Parts: sequence; C-alpha cells; structure tokens
Amino acid sequence: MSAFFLAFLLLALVLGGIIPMAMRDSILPQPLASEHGKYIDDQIRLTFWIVGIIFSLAQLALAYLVIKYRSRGQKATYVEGHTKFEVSMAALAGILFVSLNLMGQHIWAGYHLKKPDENTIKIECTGMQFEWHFRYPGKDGVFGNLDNRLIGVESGDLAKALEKEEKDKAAGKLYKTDRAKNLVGVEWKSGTPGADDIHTSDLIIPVDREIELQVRGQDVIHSVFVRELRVKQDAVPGLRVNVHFKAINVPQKLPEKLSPPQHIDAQDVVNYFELACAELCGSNHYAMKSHVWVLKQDAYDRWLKAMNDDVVKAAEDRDK
Amino acid sequence: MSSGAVGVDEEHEVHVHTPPTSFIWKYVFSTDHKVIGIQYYTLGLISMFVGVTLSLLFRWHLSHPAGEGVKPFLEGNQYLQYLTMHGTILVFMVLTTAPLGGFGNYVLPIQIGAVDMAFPRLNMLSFWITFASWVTLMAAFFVPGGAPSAGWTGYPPLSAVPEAVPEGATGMNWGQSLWVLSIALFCIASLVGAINFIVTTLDLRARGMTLMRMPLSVWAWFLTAIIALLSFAVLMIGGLLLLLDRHLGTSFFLPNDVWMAGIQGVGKEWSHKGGSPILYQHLFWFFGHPEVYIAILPSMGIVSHIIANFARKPIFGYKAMVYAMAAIGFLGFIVWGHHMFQSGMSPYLAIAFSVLTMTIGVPSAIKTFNWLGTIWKGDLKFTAAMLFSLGFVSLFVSGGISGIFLGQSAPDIYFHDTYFVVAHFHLIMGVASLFGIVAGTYYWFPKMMGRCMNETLGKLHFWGTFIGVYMIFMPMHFIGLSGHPRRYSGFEFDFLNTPEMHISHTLITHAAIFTAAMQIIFVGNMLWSLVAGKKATENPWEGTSLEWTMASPPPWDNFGGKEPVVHHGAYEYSVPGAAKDYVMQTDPPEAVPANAHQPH
Repeated sequence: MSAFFLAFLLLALVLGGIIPMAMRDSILPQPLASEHGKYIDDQIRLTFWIVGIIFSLAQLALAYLVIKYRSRGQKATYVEGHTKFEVSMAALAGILFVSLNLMGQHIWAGYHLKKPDENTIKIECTGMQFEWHFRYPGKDGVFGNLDNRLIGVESGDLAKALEKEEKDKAAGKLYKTDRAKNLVGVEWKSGTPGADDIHTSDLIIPVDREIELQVRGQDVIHSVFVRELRVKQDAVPGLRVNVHFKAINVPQKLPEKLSPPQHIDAQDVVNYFELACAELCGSNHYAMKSHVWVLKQDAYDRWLKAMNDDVVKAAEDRDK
Repeated sequence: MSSGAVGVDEEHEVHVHTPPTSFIWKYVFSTDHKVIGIQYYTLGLISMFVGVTLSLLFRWHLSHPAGEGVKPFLEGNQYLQYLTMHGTILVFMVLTTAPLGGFGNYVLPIQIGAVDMAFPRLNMLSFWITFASWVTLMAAFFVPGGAPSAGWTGYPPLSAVPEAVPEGATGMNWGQSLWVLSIALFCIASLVGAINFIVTTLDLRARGMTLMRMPLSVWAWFLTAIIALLSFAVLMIGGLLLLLDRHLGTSFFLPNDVWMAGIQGVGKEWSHKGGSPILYQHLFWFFGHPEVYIAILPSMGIVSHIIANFARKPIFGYKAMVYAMAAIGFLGFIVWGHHMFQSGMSPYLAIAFSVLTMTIGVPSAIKTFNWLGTIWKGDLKFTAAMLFSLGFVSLFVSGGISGIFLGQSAPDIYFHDTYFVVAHFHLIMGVASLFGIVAGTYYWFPKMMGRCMNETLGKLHFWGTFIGVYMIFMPMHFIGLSGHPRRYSGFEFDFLNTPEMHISHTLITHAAIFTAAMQIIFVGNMLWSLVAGKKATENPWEGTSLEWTMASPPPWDNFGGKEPVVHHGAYEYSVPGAAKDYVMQTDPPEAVPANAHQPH
C-alpha cells in the first residue's frame, strides 16, 4: 500500500541520513588542525543536532500522518488552521535559527578581523592558473613591491625591465615570458624590501603561531582551501584578503613517503595537508595542488634561516 | 481591440474574437494562453532531456576516472562545458519555463476565471523570445570553441577574457558570448511575461474571486512574477556589462593588476582598469537568489493545491501560506550575499547577510508545518499527483535543512564550493521543484489533454524517482563533508583518491542513470495517454477550483462565453453540513453553511 511504502522510505531516509553521521568520530575531516577550526566544528556539530532533530521529526511526522490518515472511508475534518499555533511555531523557528547563527559569528570575526601582533607570521598566498605561490617577507619583515611588469623578469629590477620592454617593442619583438623566473612580479633588486623575500610553492608554517594569510589572485578567481585547517578564502585579482588561523599540534598519521621541500627534514614535520583550489578557474582547476607543512617551531626557524641564506646568495649572484 | 486585451461588454457575457483556424495561428504563433503554456512546458521537457543527458555524461566521467592505461571519458574542457550547460539549461530552460511559463500560463487565467492573459500577444512574444534564447544557448555547442566552460555562474575574469583559457582549448570563445546573449534574451522574455502575470492576476479576476479566494497556485505564480520582474532586470544588466567587457574593452569586472599567460605572457597588454570581479557576483546573485525562489514557489503553490484536493481538506492556514510565500519572496531579495561569504567582500556585510539568511527558515518552516497540518485529519488519496506532492514536502525539508549549515558564515568557510552545496541546491531547487512540476502534470494532464494518464505507471514513476533522487544526493552530502570541491573533473588529490570517494561517485552515477531511466516511464505514459488514455471527465479529481468546471480539454475561450461567478474560497473540502465532500468555487452561496467557518 502506498502509505506504508512511503512511510517506510521516509524512515529509511531518516535512519540512512542520520545514523552514518551520528556514528562518525567527527563529521569533518581529521585531524582538525587549527584553533578556529575547533569552533567551526563545534558550530557544525551543534547545527547537525538541531537540524537533525528537525529533519527527523518532519520526515517521521510525514510518515506517521500518511499512514494514520490514509483513506479508509473516514471523513476528513474541516480544519482551516490555527493562527496562535502558527505564530508560536514561527517565533520559535526564528529565535532558534537566528540564535544559532549569532552564536557562530565570533568565529567569523576572529577569522577575518583579528589584528595581527608582533608574533603573527604574515604570508602572502597567490593563486594563478594552475599553481599556488607563497611569499614570506624575510628578515626585514616587509613584503617587496609587486608589479605585473616584473613577472618573469629575473633581475627583479623594474627600471631595467621597462627599458628592455621599450627596446623589444621598438624592434618589433613579440616574446613569451617565462613566468617561472619571477612568478608574482616582485621587485627584488638589491636594496629593495623584496630582496630578502622568501618564495615557496608550498605553505610552510610553525605550529602554535598566529598566521595571517594574505590571499590574492593573479589571473582569474581561485580559492585557497585546506580542509584540516578549516581554511578557505577566494583569491581575487585586484584584492588582497586576510585570513587568520593558528595550526595546533595534533597527532597525524603522516604518509609513508614524505617529500618535504628543501631545508626540511621529514622528522620535523608535525602535520602535512593538501591544499586545493576551491573556485572554478579553468581546465586544470582540479589539479591545482599544493601542500601545507606544519613544523615544530625550532625546525621552522631553521628552515627560515636556511631560506634567508639562499635568498641572500641569490641576490649576490644576481648583482655579479 | 488593438491592445490585444480581452474586453468585457456586459454583465455575464465576455466578448471574444473568433478562434484562429489555420495550423500556424492555432498551434505555432498562438495567442491562446493554453497553447503557449503547452509550448513552454514542451520546451522545458526537451531541455530537461538535454540537461540530464549532459549530467549523465559528466557523471560517467567521474565514475570512470583516468588512470593507468585508462583514457578519461571526456577530453579537454568537455567536463566543464557539459557542467556549465547542464546548470544553465536546467536553471533557466527547465526550472524557470515549465513551472511559471508552462503551468502558470495554462492554469492561472482559468483558475481566476479569465478568458486569457491580459496581453495575449505579449504572451506569445514572451514564448518566442524564450525560444530564441534557447536556440542561442544550444548554438553554443556548435560554434568554434564550443560551449562555455565557466560554470552556470560565469564569474569574471574567467568568463570575461577569452585568453583566460589556454590557446586551442575549448570553452571560452564564442560559446561564452552566446551564453550571455541567450541569458539576456531570456531576461527580456521573463520580464515581459512577468508583467503579463501580474496584470492578469490583479485585473482579470472573475466576479467574486477576491484575492483571498484565489487558489494558492495562483498566489504562487503571481508572487513569482513579482520576484521575476524585480530580479531579472539586474541579471540582464550584469550580462550586458559582461558582454561589454568581453567585446568592447570595458572594465566593469576587470581590475588593473591581472597577469595572464595568454596576454602579458605573449607580449600583449592588459587593457583593463578599475573594475571589480566582485561587482559581477553582486549583480549575478542579486538575481540568483530570488531565482531559486522563482524556481520553487510555483511548485509550492501547485503542491498546496494538490494536497488539499487529495486530503479532502482545506489547506491548513491559507492566509499564513500566502503571507509565507510573500515573506519568502521579500526576504529572498536581501540574502544574496550568502553565496559570496568567501568572495572577499566585507566581513561585516557577510555577518548581515548571514543573520538575514536564517530568517528565511521561518516562512519555510510555516509552510512545511501547514502541509503537514493539511494532511493531518484528512482522508488521503494516494494518486500519482498526491505522491509527488508528498515527495515534494519530504525533499523540501531535506534540501532546506542543509541550508542551515550553509547560511552560517563560519561553517561556510568549510562548506563553500564543496559537494555539500551541490547536494543542497539539487535537493531543494532541482528535485523538489521538479516534483512539483511532475505532480502538476499528473494533476492537470486530464484537463489539458482530455485523457487520463495511467495511474499505475505514475505510481511506479514516483517510487523509482523518489528513491533514485535520494540515492543520488544523500551521498553528496557526505563527500561534501569530506571536503570534496565542486567542479573537479579529476582526482589528483590523495584525499579524493580514496576507495570511499570512488565508491560514492560510482553509486551516485548509477543512481543518476537509474533515475533518468525512470523518467522514460513518465514520458512514455504521457505520449501513450495522449492517444490511448481513458477519456477524462470534467472533474476527475473532484476538485473545487475553476478549471474543474469546464470540459476536458477546455474550449478555446475557457468559459464558453459566460464569465463565472465565484462564491467560495478554493479549498472547501469536507465542509460540515455540505451535500458532497467538496464545494466548487462557483457553487451557490448556500452550499457552505454559514456557521462552517470557525474562527481560528
């Protein structure tokens, strides 16, 4: 009979939807690896319980009603409504949903509006087709200037680059830029703030330190997404958007074969996560892969020093 | 009369023009709202077929990923192209045509007692512009570069700059421009249609048909038309500006500092300055959010109407249902930023949008509660139309509930652009809406075609589809919870290359194939019934509204030259003291005893 079969399906829906969720250790991927992520998970868990109950009650009520009132020769009761009940249900729903929402807003505020202090590590994240690029401000703590005309220009010298461009234009030369020589167009000639900037294709951070990730896009809109850190931010051309997070020390079963970037030993790696693109950016959107390496503080310091030394040497080589 | 409107001469007679006789004026360039309704519906049905086929193709690709010695099923940008067209076709050519243009056109004038729409020639124009829009969209498949590949949302700079796609790759050439042009045409058609619906509802109601006696389906179409009128204009502007950025070098959406391998990388200049990609998102979603209500509201109205009919009970809380639909419509205009939480817009703005988004849960909850209240203490008949309507209620709850996660800005940090969102909008907008359309088909087919559809096949269609859609979209919530991003055509990441993910994808794909196959039963049933279905009587469902007072199919001028006079509301079922378990709206006043209406 239709009524019983429909009720059965609705019951199966409730059980099939809720039980697998309730049985999981965590609704979201583990390990949860950031401080604000704890609050996000709590908020999601709370939402799950509230809506899970509402969902179950509604579907089961439907199931119950279709069985109880299936046509068996009874006469329907002429009921047009019940305004008081309606109003109280509406008020209840409103208070519940809005309260739930307001409870979670502190997470959002911290994520976007937190002011960095002297301990915050600022890292620039650039999304481009189809890779990620990270830049650290180096010993001087200041990011070098960016100029798109310096993309692919190995000298990092703007005046030189413009001169060469004029010459090439006059000679009617149309050339292809090897972007890789200066991926985001930093002015890094000696004496500029950019000379000591550190460049990586992976995101390397110490554990238990506030990070301010300054997210930007170079060509189209991308979005930096790290599941375990519960971090996501659109990388928009023309904008620079800051998000704040802190990686916490959590146990993680690391992959057997770890290939950390240079100057990092596998044993120094506390956590390792994949970093994905979360905004359609073209044909290789699905393959725009990078990684996050969370290191112990001393290992991070060693890495930073080694990278600094590399950068200084590279600058000296350029000057020669 | 030169305006095309129908004139009212005397008290009971309605002056009409003589019906056309030639095939082309009767069935092609017809001004008859009934023919136009069927034309819209047919366009929607064909588009449904195209859109679903596209989805099966890219779903097959996902469950047969490239690997050792295994070539990918779809090449190059095909995955993104099919995905883009799937979304565009389904949102515009199915969910905005069939519920409003299809059923609204056919049924609304009849349900209010009118002979036709207020502007029949404009009505015909709306359909043919919609058809032109459809042809333009389909043409995108056949132009150099093929169909667009920037998603149904088409965000710039990706959609605005042809060089954003590597040379030789498909998806960003003429196809993208045709996409924008098609949408612009669709906007014009919708605006014209919306005006027609609004004027018709306000001006052409028969005597006694007060606003509060109108069926909820009429309210739904009326409110939807208002939403359409206010939102489609903004989409048209957004599309126009995008077209200008693409072809005339303007910079509405394109900022200064962009570097593309296909432009500066080959020595060309970036010629744009001062624009904002986020501006496009604001314009798009200012339309885009009301659009989802344009898609669902008609189905809500149809489902309310059908549930009352087959529960043999008045709709529970008629006035609340009207106010709830109006509230959903109004609130729908002030929440668009919840599509943009992670976009880089001001975090303060995000907080405002987030709190406002929660309020939409209130009228939605009222409506759900009232559908349950209508079934409660009813006398339920499980026809195919009723089953799909009940299915709608279940799907509306399921789809709505995932919205509570997404409307909160911090949880959305995680959920944005994952399959969790895909599961949400498919359940609430795609499937629930479609259940309303299908319910309406089973309900009004006898009236429209003069023949009944096969009820057994209808029930089979319901069971298969109801199970099928849940099998498709419930697992999507889980893969979304695992962080599976949207619009991914491959599995490069370790977290995606797990047995669970591949099994989920395979399950979803097989469920999709099964569900699509079930629709063959539906279409087969329709086609068969058109020629061999049992002849339909005037009122096979013992309904109360005006469409059940006339022959099936209705005569050309609906009411046979006599304007109906309405004495009752639309849901007088099982009235205590009444002769039958339903009182038609045109029955004499005494049919409902004076004391039947209790205060509540």
